[in-house]
Parts: sequence; C-alpha cells; structure tokens
Amino acid sequence: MPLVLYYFPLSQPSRAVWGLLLLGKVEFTPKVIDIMKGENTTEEYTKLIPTQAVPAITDDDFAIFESHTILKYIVRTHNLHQFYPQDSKQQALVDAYLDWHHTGTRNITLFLRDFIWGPIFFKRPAPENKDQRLKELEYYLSFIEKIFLGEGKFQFIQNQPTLSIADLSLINELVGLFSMNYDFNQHPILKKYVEHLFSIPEIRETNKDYFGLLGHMKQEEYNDFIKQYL
Amino acid sequence: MFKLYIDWISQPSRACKTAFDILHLKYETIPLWIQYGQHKTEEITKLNPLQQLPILVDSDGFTIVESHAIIKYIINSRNIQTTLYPSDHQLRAKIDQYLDYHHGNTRKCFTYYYNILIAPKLGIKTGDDILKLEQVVNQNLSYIQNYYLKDKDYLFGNNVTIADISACSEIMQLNTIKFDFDKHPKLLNWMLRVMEIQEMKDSHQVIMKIIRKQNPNCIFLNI
Repeated sequence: MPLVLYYFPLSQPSRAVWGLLLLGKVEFTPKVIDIMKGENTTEEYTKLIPTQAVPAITDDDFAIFESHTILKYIVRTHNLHQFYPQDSKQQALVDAYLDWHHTGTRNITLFLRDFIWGPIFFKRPAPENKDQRLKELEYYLSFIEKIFLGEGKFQFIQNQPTLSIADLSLINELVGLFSMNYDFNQHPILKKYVEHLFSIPEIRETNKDYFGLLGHMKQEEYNDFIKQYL
Repeated sequence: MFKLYIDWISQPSRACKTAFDILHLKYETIPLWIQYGQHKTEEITKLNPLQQLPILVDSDGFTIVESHAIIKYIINSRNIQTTLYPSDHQLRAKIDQYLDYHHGNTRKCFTYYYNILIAPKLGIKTGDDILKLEQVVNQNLSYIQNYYLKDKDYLFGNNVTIADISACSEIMQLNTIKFDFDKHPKLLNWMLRVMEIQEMKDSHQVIMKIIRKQNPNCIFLNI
C-alpha cells in the first residue's frame, strides 16, 4: 500500500515532508488534516497519532510523526539519498542543522503564533514582550545566514552540493515571515536563498495554498519581494 | 581519538558522555563550566559559534554540535552495531521520533529549571510563566510515561537506547529543584532503572552534588 501522508498545507513541517514526496516522486495518498477545524483532535486521528501532531505518515501499519524523522524515514526506505547524505560527516552536519532547527529557526513560527496568527485567528492576546522577541528572532535569522549558509557562500545548508531535507525544513519556516510582511532587505542572504529555493517547482507547488491564504488576508499592502510570490 | 567538550551540568553533555562510555570508546573529555563563561572563550567560539555544549572534535578536525547529531555521528562513522541505536529502520525511526520530540518538549524541563534555580541567582527576568511551565513539564512527563514507556522497562523495547539516556539526563535536572514526581510513578521507576547504569551514575556525579545541597531528601541520592 502506498504511504499515507496526513498533512495541513498551512503547517510548515507538513510542507517539508510533502515537498520531499514530490521531489522524490514517491507514490502517496494525501489526507488533509485541517488543524484549524480540529481534525487532528478527532478520536480516530488521536488513536493513530497520540500527540495529535501533523504531519504524520503511515506505511501500512507503521505510524510515525515528527517531520525530521519522517523525512529521514522516507529517504531510507525509498533510497532518496541525494536528499540526505550517507557519508557520516556530511550526514552529521545536516543532522546538526535539523536538531538546532527546533530551538532556532522554529522561533519564526512561535513568534507568528504569538503575535500574528493567535490574535487574528484565535482572538488570543499577544504577549507583552514583542520587541524582545523580535530581537531574538533577528538573532536567529542572522545565525542561519552566518553559520548554516556560510555568510552567503553556501547555496544549500551546511554547504551541501544539492538540496537536502535541511533546506526543505528551513525554507518552509522562512516563508512564514511573509505573513508579517517582513522586509527581507535586512537579510540579503536569506532573500537570495528564498529566491533560489523557489526556483524549484515542487517548493512552489507545496506553498500554493499558504500563499493563497496570504493573498486573501490583505492585512496590509505586502512589499514587492513578497508580492511576487502571492 | 576524538575530543568531547562538555559541562557536567549540561544535560545533553551528560547524554553524549554516557553513551560513549557505555560503548567503551577511547576519547578525551574536556569539561568546561558554562557558569564561568568558559563556553564563550575565543577557542570555543571558533569551534562552535553557537557557544553551546557539547561539542565533538574528531581526530581529523571535523567538528559537530547538537548532542543527538554527535552521538549518531560516532555510531555511524565507526560503524558501531549497538542496541543503543539499532539499525532496524522502523525501530530507529521510533527512536528518532522521540529524539526530535525531545527538543521542543522534554527540553522544557531545562527552561523550568532555569527559571526556578538559575535566573533568580543571575537577577534575570525571563518573562516566562512559571506556573504554565510547570504544567507543561507535567504534561510532557505524563506523555513520555503513557505513550512511550507504558509498561516496558525502557522507552523502546527491552534495552536502553540513546532515547532513554537523552530523556533521563534531561529529566534528572528536575531533582535539583525538588520536582515532585508523584504524578509519574512509572516514569520515576524508569529513571531509577536507567540511573542504575554505572555510566549514568558517573556522568551525574556533579549533578548529585547539587541535588545533595538543594534537595537532600531526594530519592536519587540513595542509588
């Protein structure tokens, strides 16, 4: 039976896994789990995935969640090693990014959740320390440019020769910044990276729904760099 | 021979040390003290601009950070066959699933510990909601107990794996702040079982000193 992908197009880790399945031309059955409608909290889904996490996959009876684990599992079971190096040093470098991502890059989504989506979609009041959180976010973005993109010298994370699962994880978080009309001129290296990754059709494909939503929201006029993608 | 830079008070440092000692590897341990800023020296910053520990430097100069990546790198590059991280795809995926979950969830133990014990000492106001953190920590511990551990001896199968070592090292930190494990009896038993491993005991000697001072009635002082 082909893999089943439980995903939500507005979820960044969902888009990373979806992107790999498209890039690797893996046969899969897509099942949208709409988190906004609480479809991840049904009895049926909770039985399958007790954390109610999205994305998840099932491979016949085997169920797995956590996007980075899913990405690696797909690579190993479908021989997609071009997306995740087998050489132990190169693999360790990609793993180091993927681990750091959880407490580093993921601050983008945590910021958006607290200050943009929470207030708009869930009427949740934003915390009071916005300036401090923004400062921390800037720190992490500079870090990505300096360390993982080699001050702009690397085309892909950790100077890998081709796109890896680390890039799939990063790019989908980075475009979260579109929803706050972020001025990418502050980070020209990230700007170049976004342009480069979006030259890949599968990355554009998996972000269509998210960009569609942004186009509808029109909270303010988006800057030119972001507008070209919506 | 590789070098492992650690801080005994850093939970991920202890996880790496314990794993490598269980595997009887020969390496140089360089203990540093984050509390004295030794992670921010020019030498360490050159090795890891993130200024975080642990750091591994292999004999050819290859440097790697992030504890889970470090442990996996050694197991992969030395071709070590071990029950700590078995090669079966599905079992490995389940262990990876826990190790990914760890960063955003179990690691909240560190945030809670930091807010209770460290931030006040340094006069830092973190802005974190301590009551909320305590709730989250309890939720995460329940989850590990009821979803991963259930009635087994270890998180995955019959043997200790790097998931047990990483999780237990992290959760042990809570003993320095008198955390009440009464809501998590199975988890407590599992921790005691994992702490029976000599290499875990060795890695936790410094933490035990802190526990003796901060929490003298702690059950772990008797193991």
